[in-house]
Amino acid sequence: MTVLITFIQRAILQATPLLFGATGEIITEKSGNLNLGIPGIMYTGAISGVIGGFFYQNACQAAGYAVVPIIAVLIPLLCSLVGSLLVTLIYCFLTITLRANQNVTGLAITTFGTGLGNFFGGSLIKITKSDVPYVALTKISLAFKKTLPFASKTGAFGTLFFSYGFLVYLSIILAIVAAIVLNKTRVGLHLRAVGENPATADAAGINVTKYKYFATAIGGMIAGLGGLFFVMDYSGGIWANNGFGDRGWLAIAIVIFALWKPNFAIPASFLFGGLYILYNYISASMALIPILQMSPYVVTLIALVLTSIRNNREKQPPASLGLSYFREER
Amino acid sequence: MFKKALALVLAVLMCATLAVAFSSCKKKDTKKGMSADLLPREAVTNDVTVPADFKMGLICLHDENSTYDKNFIDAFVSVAQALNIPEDRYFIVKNVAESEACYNAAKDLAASKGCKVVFADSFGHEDYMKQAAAEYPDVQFCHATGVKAKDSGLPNFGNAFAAIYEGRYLAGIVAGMKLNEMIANGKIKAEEAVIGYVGAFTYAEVVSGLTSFYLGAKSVCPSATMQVQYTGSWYDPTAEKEAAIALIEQKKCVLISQHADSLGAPTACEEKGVPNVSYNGSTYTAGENTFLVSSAINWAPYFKYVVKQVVNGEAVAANWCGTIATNSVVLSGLNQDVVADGTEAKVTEAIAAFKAGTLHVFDTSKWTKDGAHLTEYLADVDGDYAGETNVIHDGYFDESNATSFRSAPYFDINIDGITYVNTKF
Repeated sequence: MTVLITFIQRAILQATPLLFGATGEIITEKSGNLNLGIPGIMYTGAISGVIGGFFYQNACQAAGYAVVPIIAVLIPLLCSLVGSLLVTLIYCFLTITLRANQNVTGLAITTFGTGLGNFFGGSLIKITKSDVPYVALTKISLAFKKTLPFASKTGAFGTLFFSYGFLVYLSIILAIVAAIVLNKTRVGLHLRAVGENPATADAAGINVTKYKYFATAIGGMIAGLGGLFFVMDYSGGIWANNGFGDRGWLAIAIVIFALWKPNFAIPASFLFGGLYILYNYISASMALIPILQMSPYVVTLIALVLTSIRNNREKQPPASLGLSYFREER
Repeated sequence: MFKKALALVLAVLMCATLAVAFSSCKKKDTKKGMSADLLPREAVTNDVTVPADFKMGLICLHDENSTYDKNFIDAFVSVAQALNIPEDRYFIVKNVAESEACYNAAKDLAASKGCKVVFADSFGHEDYMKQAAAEYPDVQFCHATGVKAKDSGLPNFGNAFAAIYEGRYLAGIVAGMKLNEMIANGKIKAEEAVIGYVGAFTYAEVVSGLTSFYLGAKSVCPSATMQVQYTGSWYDPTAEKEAAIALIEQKKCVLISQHADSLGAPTACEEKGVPNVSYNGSTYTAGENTFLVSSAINWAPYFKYVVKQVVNGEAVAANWCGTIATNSVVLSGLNQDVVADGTEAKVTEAIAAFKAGTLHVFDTSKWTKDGAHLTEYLADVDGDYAGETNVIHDGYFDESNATSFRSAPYFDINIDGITYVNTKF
């Protein structure tokens, strides 16, 4: 039983970066922008938070004071948001204003973001001069991982529901809020209109450029939080280059698997997170591990095939996804 | 809309400032911290007159942001600096894949750059180094962790390793002492002294390391057993972390060590409050409350040895294995907030015994295979993955004997007391 509780807890921790990434990408894609730069943006979000946290923790150490939890959270959080926003704005400018090809731009942003992270990560590591190449922000991490006071007193129930840092809850809240905004509000309706048919939306008086910019920028910032969660909470404040893995691509796979619905993305990312670590908890042979790790992608492919066959309008990607909008071509 | 947003931002900012103002400015807690290194990296002595045209090169699989490669790069640079070799006469080629790229890099260093010595750091580089060595007989090619130099018939090709199993054994003693402490203060029962080990692959190098670590722990804590989980990767933070968590939660391991390059296992231990023994360098800053000790290979003595031989026109050994005596095996200090009392004395005692040659890690009277003490074991010494040479003599398994056998580890026995949760070749 305790093993099962641990497994679920670990699966949720594994799912959180994916959920941030998927929610961000869904909001982006609803505006008709296919942002394949998400892995790079998440990586940038992580390193930006690390840079902020690094200088704050060092300043505290130099002054001889303990870190103040609220500042330890706020500085990396703001840095992360700004970092991922800046990189997302590059993507926005190229694809929305200059109407560059979204696939190429997105992939370039992923390469760029990863390089950016490794460059600054490597630089910080050089500053720390440690034996093993990593940056340790353990004190900052403690602030991020702070749980509700009664989490440890409520046994298995507490472990299952209250044992997480605030970013885990934030990821779920953001997904729910995104679902509500997309489906129940005027802003959501306009955004979906832009993604489905920007020409019609334009004719109806919706500012297409503004919606695309805002949706992509907000989506990028949410995705960046996934990177921040990974390094500050999941990794215990340890930054090492190339540690983020393929989470960015998994997040994009979840978007398809969840049929562009943020509320579906919540169970979908829990499922992906669970499958990611399942092999540690069942006595599986090593040969089975790649199959288990492959399963989310296989399920995604099947979902793609099924939705294409059924041709159900409700379960399709936004009609103008990946296309640039030229007003003159109407 | 804008005013509303501004008001919200300002309100949040004000709350934050208030929170800061009211939060107490606690002074840093007083920790005892790390003790001095038990086997420190000694400064390289400059007793070689390196000619002005001497150049050397190092080929690395990754760059200095990889734990493994950084260990080589740091040692390489320290030797160059100690021997007054200026920066434009030593070359470090980074991110060289275990492919034709290695051959091209080696060729470039030997032919275009004019290096007299070319090193490579990764196991998979070996065939390409051998190929380059055959082509450039005037240049010395050296390959760490490899196995083929002895049988290659190339006088200018050498393999090297270090008796790191001795360092692992010492780290094992630290772990065993900690287990004893836990048993003594009633935290666990004697039979619950289960060590968890996260390994990369089921290679002799890893098996040799984890077995020597286990034997070190067992030498002070006889009831210790070990559970080993492989990840199938040398660097996978998530897999290593989750493997460590699963070992702690599912297999009830009370102490963790690892042989893989990421901080996955140490951070998992810090999270769970389980003591951790590290490898390849200290991870104290990542786990101030759980880090115990760390052992590592120091490659500087080997680099220095090769340069000296080449400069003096003498042959470089086909197999070279550094020891504690050559300063090739280093051990960090102890985390005084975590280790058990009396640990340092135990470790110092073992170091003295290693130096005197009276202590053998793989003493066959200390371990069994399927309940029996081995008197003979055919190990794979020539690198064809089939055992052919008996390496047990005088009552111990003679690991990494560079003179008679080879420098790279060949201990691949699954001894009693160690359970392999999975295997990955």
